[in-house]
Amino acid sequence: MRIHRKVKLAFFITLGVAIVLFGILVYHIASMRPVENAHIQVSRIDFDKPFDSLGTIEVKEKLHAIAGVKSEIIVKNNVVVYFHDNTVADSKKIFAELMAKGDYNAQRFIVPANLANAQVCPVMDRDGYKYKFAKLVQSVFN
Amino acid sequence: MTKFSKIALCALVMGTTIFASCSSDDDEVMAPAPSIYARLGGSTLVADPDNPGQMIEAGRLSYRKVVNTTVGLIVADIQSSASGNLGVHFTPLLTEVGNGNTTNLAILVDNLTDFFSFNTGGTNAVNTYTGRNMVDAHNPAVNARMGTTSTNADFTKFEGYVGAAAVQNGVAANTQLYTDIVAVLESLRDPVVQ
Repeated sequence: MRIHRKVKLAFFITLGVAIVLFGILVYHIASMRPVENAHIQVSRIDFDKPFDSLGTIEVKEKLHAIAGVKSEIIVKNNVVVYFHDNTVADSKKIFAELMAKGDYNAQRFIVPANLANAQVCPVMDRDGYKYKFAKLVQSVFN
Repeated sequence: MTKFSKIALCALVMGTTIFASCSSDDDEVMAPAPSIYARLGGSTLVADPDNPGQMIEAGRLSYRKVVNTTVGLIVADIQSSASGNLGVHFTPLLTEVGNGNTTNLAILVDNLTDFFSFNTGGTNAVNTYTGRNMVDAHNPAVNARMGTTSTNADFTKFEGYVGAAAVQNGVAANTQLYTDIVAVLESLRDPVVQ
């Protein structure tokens, strides 16, 4: 069966445009500078009493020794805020490890429901094909 | 005095004037002050304490530490019933993070580090700022993540957090560097407060 010449032409033009657009998309993703500390998470632990200067140093040292905890640790009164790589350790694991290192009475901070319900725009789904494709291309070029 | 002597005397006076005007003392007076970025370490590469095996510009690292500490201090102040802190601006972000999605926290820290680095003298490509301009970034109609507009009081509170974060990271409050950082922040009040 002979395919009409105009249909063939339209097919190849469409294919060409698709290839060019795909190339632009790949270039765009490849040239993006990856976000520093992409898996950084901030977590907070509320203790039952404020820290003095020695207690501050001690709790910082204990947290620093836990795998995945980053360099910035903030101690303010009875509150400790720290950053960590959530692909290495989540906040529950770090909390459990810290509690095992000392005689502390504390609880993990959970964002209050009235504040947590505030509207935010949707973010990229890490299980979605867009996220996986972008990660694949970036891993090739970076 | 002979004609030759007069010419020689004129040449001596002119030469002295020219050399005096080119003295190194004047060069020191005219030299521009180092940028804030340079005074925070500049583009000298140092080991990144949060990413073993990677290097980072010392100026960028200083800013990243101040940005992280600022976020940490704000998080430390969040209380369900307390007003006056910046919880309302940051809890949506924390909720995402608590649910395991850290994309926007990482982008926020990265963008703020880029913004302050690039605009205070860190003009290498690593610090290129690609976020919104300050007016759009703080306009809820343009940026859906801004739940509400920022007031003058919010901005003053934020300045206080940044100042405290700078002090915690080694910039003493009685220094010219601290004054210059506060001046840069203050220049952002108009575009941020809407």
